[in-house]
Formats: sequence, C-alpha cells, structure tokens
Amino acid sequence: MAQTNSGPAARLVGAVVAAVSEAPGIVLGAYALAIAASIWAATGLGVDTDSSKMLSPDLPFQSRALELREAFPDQKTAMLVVVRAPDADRADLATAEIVEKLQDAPGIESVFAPAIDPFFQQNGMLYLSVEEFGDQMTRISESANLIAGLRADQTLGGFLSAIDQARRLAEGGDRSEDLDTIYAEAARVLDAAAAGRTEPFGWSAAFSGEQGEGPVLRVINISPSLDYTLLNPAKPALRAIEAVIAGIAPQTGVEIGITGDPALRAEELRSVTAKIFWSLGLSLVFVALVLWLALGTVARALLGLGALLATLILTTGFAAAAVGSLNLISIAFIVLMVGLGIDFAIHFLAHLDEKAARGQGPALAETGRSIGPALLLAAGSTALAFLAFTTTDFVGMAQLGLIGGIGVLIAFAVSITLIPAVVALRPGLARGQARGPRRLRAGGVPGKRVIAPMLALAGVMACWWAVDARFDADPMNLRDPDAGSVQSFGWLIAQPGLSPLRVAVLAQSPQEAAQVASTLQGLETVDTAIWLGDLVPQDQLQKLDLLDLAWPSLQHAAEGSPEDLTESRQITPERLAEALTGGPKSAGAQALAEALTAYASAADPLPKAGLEQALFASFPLLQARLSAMLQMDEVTEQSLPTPLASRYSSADGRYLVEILPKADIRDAVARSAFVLDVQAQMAEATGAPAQIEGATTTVSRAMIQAVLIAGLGASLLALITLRSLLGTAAIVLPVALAGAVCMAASVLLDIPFNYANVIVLPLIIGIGVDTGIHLALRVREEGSVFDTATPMAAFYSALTTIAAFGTLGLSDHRGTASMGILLAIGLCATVIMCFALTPPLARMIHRKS
Amino acid sequence: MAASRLIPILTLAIGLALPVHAADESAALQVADTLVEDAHGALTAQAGADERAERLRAALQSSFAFDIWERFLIDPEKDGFSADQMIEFRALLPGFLANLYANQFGKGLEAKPEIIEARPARKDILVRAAIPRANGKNLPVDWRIRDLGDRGHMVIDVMVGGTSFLILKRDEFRGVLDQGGPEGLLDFMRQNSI
Repeated sequence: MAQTNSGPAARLVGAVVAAVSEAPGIVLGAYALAIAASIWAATGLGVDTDSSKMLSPDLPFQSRALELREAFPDQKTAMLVVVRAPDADRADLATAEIVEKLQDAPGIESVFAPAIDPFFQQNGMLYLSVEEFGDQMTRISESANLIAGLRADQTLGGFLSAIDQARRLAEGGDRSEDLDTIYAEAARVLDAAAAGRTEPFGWSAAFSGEQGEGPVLRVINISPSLDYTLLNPAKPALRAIEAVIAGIAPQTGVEIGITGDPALRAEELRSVTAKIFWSLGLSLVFVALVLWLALGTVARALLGLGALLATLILTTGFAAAAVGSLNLISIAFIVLMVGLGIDFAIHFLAHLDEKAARGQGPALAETGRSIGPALLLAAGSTALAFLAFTTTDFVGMAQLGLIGGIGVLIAFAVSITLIPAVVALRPGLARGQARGPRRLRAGGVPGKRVIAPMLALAGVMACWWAVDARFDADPMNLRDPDAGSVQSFGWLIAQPGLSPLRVAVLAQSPQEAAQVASTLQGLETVDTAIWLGDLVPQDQLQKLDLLDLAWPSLQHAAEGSPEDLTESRQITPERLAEALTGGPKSAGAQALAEALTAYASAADPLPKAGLEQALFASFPLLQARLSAMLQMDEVTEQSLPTPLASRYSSADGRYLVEILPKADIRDAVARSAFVLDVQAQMAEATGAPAQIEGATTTVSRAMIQAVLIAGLGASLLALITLRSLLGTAAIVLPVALAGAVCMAASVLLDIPFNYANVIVLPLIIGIGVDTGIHLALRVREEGSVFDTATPMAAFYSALTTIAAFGTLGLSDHRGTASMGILLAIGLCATVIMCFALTPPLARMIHRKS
Repeated sequence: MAASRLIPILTLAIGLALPVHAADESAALQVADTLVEDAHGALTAQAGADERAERLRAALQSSFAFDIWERFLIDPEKDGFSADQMIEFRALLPGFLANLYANQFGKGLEAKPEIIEARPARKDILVRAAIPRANGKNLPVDWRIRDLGDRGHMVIDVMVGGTSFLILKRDEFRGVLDQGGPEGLLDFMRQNSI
C-alpha cells in the first residue's frame, strides 16, 4: 500500500484532489462555464448515417467507390418509390397517380417511371425476344375486334356482347383456347362481384397472356433537389414523397414503399435515434438505482449522477468540436459514457466512505492518493482501448474511439475534481455505505476451488468457437427489418433484374464497356452484365417487320370501330354461361360459365355500376398502351430517355457496366464468390457488394489491430504500474478468456460482429483491465480484496455498465441491438472471469513476494 | 454479344436504304377490284371443281405477293427446309391460300363483293371490300396492298375485323412446324390446298 500510495500517480492525484478541496467554488464555477460551452457546442452536432464513410477514403475499394459516385452522383441521391400490386394494371394505376402528384411536389427535381413512361409505352415491346414479340402481335391481331368492341361500349352488356362475339369467332376458327386468359380473368372479377366484392379486371395481363405468379413491382426513380444546409439534404423530397403516398387512395393488395439511399439512411437514423433516448432514459434509471445501492444515500447517488451528466455533456461538447458529425457507430458514445462515466465516481465515493470511516473528516486527499493510481491506470487502459481504433482505416470506429477515449479521461477528471469539490462544500456526502451484500467474500462461495478452474476451462473451450467469429459489413443487416425502406429494398432484391445489389465497372469508351460486359457475361456467378449498348433492343429489324405486319390490327384495336362479324343477339350472363358450357371445354371457359351463373343468381352481388367499374377501371391503360404502340419505332442510343441513358453514361463521357449476380447475394458466401469472380477479371470492379467485401476485410483487420494494440497497451500500463509479469497476467488472462467467451457467443448466437458492435472486444479489454487493476491493486495494498470496499465498487461499476449497455438491446436498429446484446454478454463474462480468476492469481503472487 | 447485335443493326440500315414506294390508292383499288372480280368469277363459275380451283388459284397468283407471305409464314424455321421441301412449299402456297379464300369468302356467295374504299395504313393501302353473306349482311374484308416497285401493287395480307390472316396462319404454321417439322407442314398444306 505504501509503495502504491507514495508513487507519482498517487502524489499527483492526491495533490489535485487536495487543491480542489481547497477551492471548491472556483472548480464548480469552472465546470459551470465548461458545461455551458459544451452545451452550446453540442447544438451543432450532427449525425451522418452513410456507412460507406466509415472507412478510409484512401482504401483502394473506397477510392473506386468514390470514383463511381463522382461519375454517377445520382445513384447515391436517387430515391425509389416501389409499388407492389397483385397485377400489372393496379401497379400501373398507382404508379401513374403517384407520378402525376409528384410533378408538382416540392423538393423533386425529376421523376422517371419506366412502366408508364411514354418511351416504354411506345417501344417497350421491342425489349421482348423476337418470339415473344411475335406472340404479342398475334394476340393483338386476334383480339383487335374484341378490344375495339370493349372500347366502344364500356358497360356490362357491351362486355358480355364483345366476349360472346369473340367466343363465336374463336370457336369457328378452332382457337377457343386463345381466349382462356381473358375468360379466367373475367371469372375472377365476376366471382368477386357475386360475393359483393370489387376485384379490378387486369387487362394488361389478360391480353398479354402473362398471368405472372407473385406480385408485380413498379419502380419510380426520383431525383431530389438536394438542400445541403440540412443534415439529410434529401429530406424535403422525402417528406414530399411521403405526403404524396399518404394521399394515394388505398387499393386492395397495393403496397407502396420508399427506398434508395436517402430513404434508408433517414429511416436508419430514425430507428437509431428513436430508441437511443429511450435507451438513455432507461440507462439513467438503472444507473440511478445501482448508484443508490452502491453509494448508500440518495444525496450521494445524486452526486454520482451529477458527475455522470457533467461527463456526458463535456464529452458531447468535445465530440462536437472534434468530429462535428457523429456516425452510426459513434452515436452510441452516449450510452457507453453512461456506463463508463460512472465507474470512476463509484470507486472514488466508495473509497471516500472507507477512508472517512477510518479517520476524521472527509479524507479527500487521502482518498485521492489511495484510489488515484488505480483510477489513473483504469482511465489510461480504457482510453487506450478506445483510442486503439484511431490507428486503423476504420474511420467510423476511430471516431467512437476518439470520443470514447477522451470521454473516459473526462470521466476520470470529473471524479477527481468535481466530486471532491462538492464533497468539500458538503462534507456529509463523504459517508454512505453500499447496500446489498456487505462484502463479496470469495471464501464464502461454496466450491470456489472448483469454480475458478472450471471458468478458466470454459474460457479455453470458448476459443474453439471463437476462431469462427466473423465480421458482417452489409449495412442492410444493421437496419430495422420492419422499416418501410428496408422492406421495399427487399422487394427489389427478390425480383430478378431489379436488385440494387450490383457490381459496377467504369469504362472509358463504348468499346471498352461492350468488351467488359462481354467478358463478364460468361462468368459462372454472373446473371447479366449491362451497359448502355444493351438498352438498344436487339433484332429490331425483325420486330419492326412484325409490327409492320400487325400494325393495321393494332390500329383497329386502338382506334377502329368494332365490326359486326357474327349475328347480333341480346346477351345476358345466363345466355353467355350457357353458350360457354355448350362450347369447347377449357378451364377458363368453365370458370367463366360458373362465375356468370353465380353472379346472375347471387343474393347480394356487387351492383351493376360497381361491376362495370371493376371491369373497365384499368381499360384506359390498355387503350393508351395500344395507341402509343402505333408510334413504335427503331430505338437508338440517342433516342433513349435521358434518365435511362444517364444511368449508364456519365456527364464526363464514361460508361457504366452493371453486373448482376445469379445467386441471392444477401448471402455472404454467395456475395463473396460473386465479387471474387468478377474482380478476378476486372480488379477495378466496385459497387455495393464489392464495397461490403472490401469493408469486411478491412474491418476484420482493424479489429485484430485494435484488439492487439488495446491488449498490449493495457498490459504495458499494468506492467509499468505493477512491475510484475505475473501480476499483469493476473489482470490480462481473465480478460482474454472473457473475450474468447464473447466471440464464441457471437458465433453460437449468430450475432456476427458488425459496424455497430465491433467496439465490444476493445471495450472488454478496457473495462476488464480496469476491474482487474482495481482488484489486483487492492490485493497488493491490503493482502486481501474481499475485505475492502473495492469488490463492491467494482461489482456495482460493472453492474451499472451492463445495465446501461443492455438497454441498447431494445433498439429497433439491429446493429445497435446486437451491440447491446454482445456487450452485456461480454461484460458479464468479463466480470465473472475477473472476480473468479484475478484475486486468487493476485493473492498467489502477493504471497510469493 | 457485340457481333450478334451488329448484324440486325446493319441489316436494318440496309433495309432503310432501300427505296420505299409511295402507296397509290387507285392502283391498290385496281388490284383489289381485279382480285375480287376474278375470284368471284372463279368461285361462281359453272365449271368443275378443279377448274374453279385453278381459276381461283390463278386469281390469287396474279395479285398476291407470295414471297412476303412465305417470309412471314416460315421465315424463322425456313433454314430447316430442304431445297425440295422449299420447292414444294412454294408450289403449295397459292393453292393453300386459294383454299383459305374459298373457305372464308366463298360460302353462300350470291352477289359480287363490292369494293368500298381505300385508306392508308403506314406504307400500305387497306382496300375495304364488302362480301355479301347468306344472312343478308356484308362481311367486311380488308385487302392489304403494298407497292412493290417493279412488281406493282400486290396483296400482302387479308384482314377481317382487324385480325390478320397472315398473322393467324403464321401462328398456325409455327404450331404445325413445332409438331411435325417441314414435312408435317407440307402434309398439312397438301390436305388444305386446292
């Protein structure tokens, strides 16, 4: 004890505490000024949710991503409205309504919806294969008079009459099966009408003959006007889009979502911040409760809380001055500081009570000398654990490392200045004993000789799983899966050809782009490689020839008067049902016959006007498409719509080649194989999947680097203080085993390390070494630790930290939640290992010496 | 990929470079009138079936652009035909179309079809004819006539109620070819030709 308490650290801390207790008013005044300045600075603190900025821009994969972003800036800022509907017509109707309302919405620069864009209405069919194109022309030609009839008379009678005439002509030409999709669709509408429900007729699917399985997706690309004075420059556009969608009349089965980077980031920020304050509040409640238990009186608990708040405010002020804007990782410093900031206050106040109980008065200076070295070492090692990350390429974590590291030093400074100043003014605050078990006596634990070796063995066994711990750099896996933007993103990924997860290569010329696309197209993992040239339909000569052939049919369908090709007769649902039953058998004809009979005999069917509305609501879409197709013409690169062409050719003349994977690359193994496959051919390939792979490698390396630096640094500090290798081992070994347990838990619980929870391992080192130092130094001072206030202080400190971190598990943000869970597990393991292993090891060394 | 894309583009460029003859409504009307006249004469002639068929085939022969019909009917699968099969196909086509004509428009003919009007349809002319039916009504038929330059104006399609016979038969031929190949198609044509 004498050795430790007379060292430079003890003298320094003792002198500081003594000086503070001599002039407490000045100290408190200085704090008031510093806190006011910090609050002022903190008002300018922002949050940037862009995960791509979490890694050094100098990394090769980051600089390639930056180059891509500079060439095609719209990709990062574009927002997507995704419409999901049971059929194409409902999707297109909703899309058209949204696009129309967005035209005048504020914050919107341009809107491009391929499904209803005039260019694609006119020329979209040219993107079909020659065979598919020919089939479509055949269907239009066959149905030309039916469509003309429906166009001329949009009543139930007109519908039945047109269907009946088409039926008789088809039966006459032995082509009844050609009408089966139309029969089936009509049957679906009439069945619903018989039950009193409205189910709109899907004309597009009925006439294209493509009754697809699963929902139809439509994408509206929106370029927002960006306001860079805002934290989220696309916020006005996002608000406007949300308002437009809120104003769309709900339709059965139609879902509308917003996604794209700005929307994902805005919702991510919302999910992170929404519960971070709830989490903070809960943390403060837990901390207050633990403080009351740890410090004995409400007044002392309030003093501890005051010290914590001062630490939080000063650290936030530092963060504002040092980094200006937090990221998704560093925003967690708020909760981390609740847990870490209180440690020093508990230890100081527990020691103060112990010292005050032995002598006269508050014994501030003596407490400073006694606890000073341990606090200083603990602060140094924990700060080192955090600061270790500032040396890596992991910029996002470096920020948390910097703020956390300095925050720990601030907490230490607050505990040896603010607390003594207040105690000097109110000496009664020096006394107050912890509630709960008076002493944590290891000797009282049954089977203690078995527990320690068993825990050590468990830690060693955990290494078996720990080596399989992995890092998941996919930012989508951090986000709240229930968030609208994440769900919409999922809709796109599930749809072939629409997945935003693509690898990209920048080419300097069209020839190079074509060459790159051609090379990559043949790879086993690649589904498609697309460049601007691919947007010009193939085999146009043959298709336009077929169009030319079908053009009069198309014109008749779109503009002509229906011809009376059969003998006219009055048609009713019953008569049509009878005719269908008597004609050639087909599933569609039978279904329609049954539906017509059901409708005619229904007790409470949909009224006629309602049925007519259901039958013809989307018919104008078909009419518009047919009219537009009359103008179908050769598509060239020059005639492509600008929003489409500019997606693949940059303003500075470069070309983008996009490579889509065959497999679902949300799976990490498939993603890695895809990226490696492409990069083996084109090392310069970039894009989100390549960035994720690059980040995985970089962050894994950064983790190892940071853990090594933190571990070595903390060990070195312990070695310098204790001047004993075995003593250092008594501190470091339990922490290493706790780290192994935490990594094993990550594997067994399938909670991989990610951008948010990667702080866990260095933190375990910092806090574990803290606890170990307090325990080891007390053994060294007193010969035994469990007879002193230290184990109780260490126990409550750890309990506070666990309670504070555990609340993060409540977050909707999966990254933040995983951080809370892994930290709680890791810290429990740390405390158990330290309490079980450090005192006996330290005692053995103490006895030997 | 680049080569496969280049071919149709070049072909298209060549196609566009060919002279396009402006359609001439009066010439088209003349062709349709002659066709209807000759076909009606053949179908109502007081002669044996073979002679009527021969006259109808001859009427179509002089006014139909069989090469265009052939292109659309079998072009994608044409490569699968042997030289002999192609010769037979070309020999059968006029009779096949004559049979189609007779089946569609030759039943219950009492009065001569009447030419109603001519109207432009892109680069072609649609000539509307009204074919009298047994029930007293007229069946509206459109003859699609194209100016083929030196070959004059010729019928490239027949349409009823906006439905193209050429497209329908193309679809039908593809089905037969898928089932039985060129020989199957020739067999089908043999059974449906006059």
